[in-house]
Amino acid sequence: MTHKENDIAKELREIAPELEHLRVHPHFDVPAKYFDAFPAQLLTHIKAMENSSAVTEELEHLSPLLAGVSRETPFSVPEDYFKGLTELVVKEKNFAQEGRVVKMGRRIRLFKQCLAAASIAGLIAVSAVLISRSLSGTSMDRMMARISDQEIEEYLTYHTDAFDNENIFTNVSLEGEMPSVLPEDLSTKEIDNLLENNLLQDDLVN
Amino acid sequence: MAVTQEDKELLALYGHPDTKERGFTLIVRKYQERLYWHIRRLVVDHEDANDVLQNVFIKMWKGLEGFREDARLYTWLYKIATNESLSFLEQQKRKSAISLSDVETGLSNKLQADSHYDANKIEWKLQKAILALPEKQRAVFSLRYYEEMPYDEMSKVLDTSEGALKASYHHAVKKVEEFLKNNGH
Repeated sequence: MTHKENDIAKELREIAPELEHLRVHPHFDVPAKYFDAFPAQLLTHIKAMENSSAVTEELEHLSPLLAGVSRETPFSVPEDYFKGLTELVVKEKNFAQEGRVVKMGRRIRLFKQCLAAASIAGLIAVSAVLISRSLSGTSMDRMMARISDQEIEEYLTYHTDAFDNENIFTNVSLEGEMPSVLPEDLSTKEIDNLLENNLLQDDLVN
Repeated sequence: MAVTQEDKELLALYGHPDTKERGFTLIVRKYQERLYWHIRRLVVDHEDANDVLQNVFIKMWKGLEGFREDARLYTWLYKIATNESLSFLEQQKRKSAISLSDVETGLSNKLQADSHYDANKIEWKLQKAILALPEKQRAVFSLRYYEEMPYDEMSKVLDTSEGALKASYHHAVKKVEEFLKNNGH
């Protein structure tokens, strides 16, 4: 026993003699490797504190308004949710593991079912396209036949713009000025020639 | 940053067949709450957050054997949680075939469905402001503002450069501030 310890023991004997025999160190439990891990834990804690103040300083600089708002998330969570969560996750993990096992027979059956479903879906899709094509063609023809010339003229008067007009007239072929009134003595052949040379080209509207 | 001592011990437990389950349980216990809050802030609804969180831990169970010891478990788990949350939001968008603004409206409605919701309180206005941010910027904001994650860690979580993250966070803060000012603060 050192001189210093002797003095402390003597002092204690004088103050409270009954405590003298209790000076033996008690055997408190300490987690395994606690002191080995302590410096690293402390360093992590210090770094977290430093980083926290860096985030706060940055926020104060960027937005004093936001820096003054509480950073707590106000959402509510069902009571005792976190208490049962670990057990739930461990259970789910086992369930997910079991779910991965797929028997070969089942897989083939599933493949056959998928193949049959795909064939039926394909057949329906092709039929639908063919039917819609045939229906849309006839209905379009019927609708076009019902439109009178006057309606078409009115539509073109009110629905064409400068761009359309330009488009139309670039496709028109006029090889001379058309007479406003056809001379009465023109033969049928002459009329045909006149019309042939001055008709709108076939590819007016593609 | 090196893996913390405590995580090292947990990983050692997980790495041994006899203590694998115990190691997994302890990792879940350690990270469940902070990961839950990170996910919840992104997906808003509790049930959705619960589903995503379970997926995160199932992915962790499946992938933990391939986990590189030089990486930090905490960073790795945040990466999975962020990716799962963003994928979940993407799936929701595709399922409903709705636009991004409709997704935001949907999340805003979920926010208002919370039993503690109070439109006049600043903390709820803040949540609404955060929801108005694009999804990835919301993740950046959440990781920095709530989790106080350093930019170098965040860079590993989001696979984005530190500079880009810093710029994104600064823009996000300005947008949130503007929202709050326009809403009476």
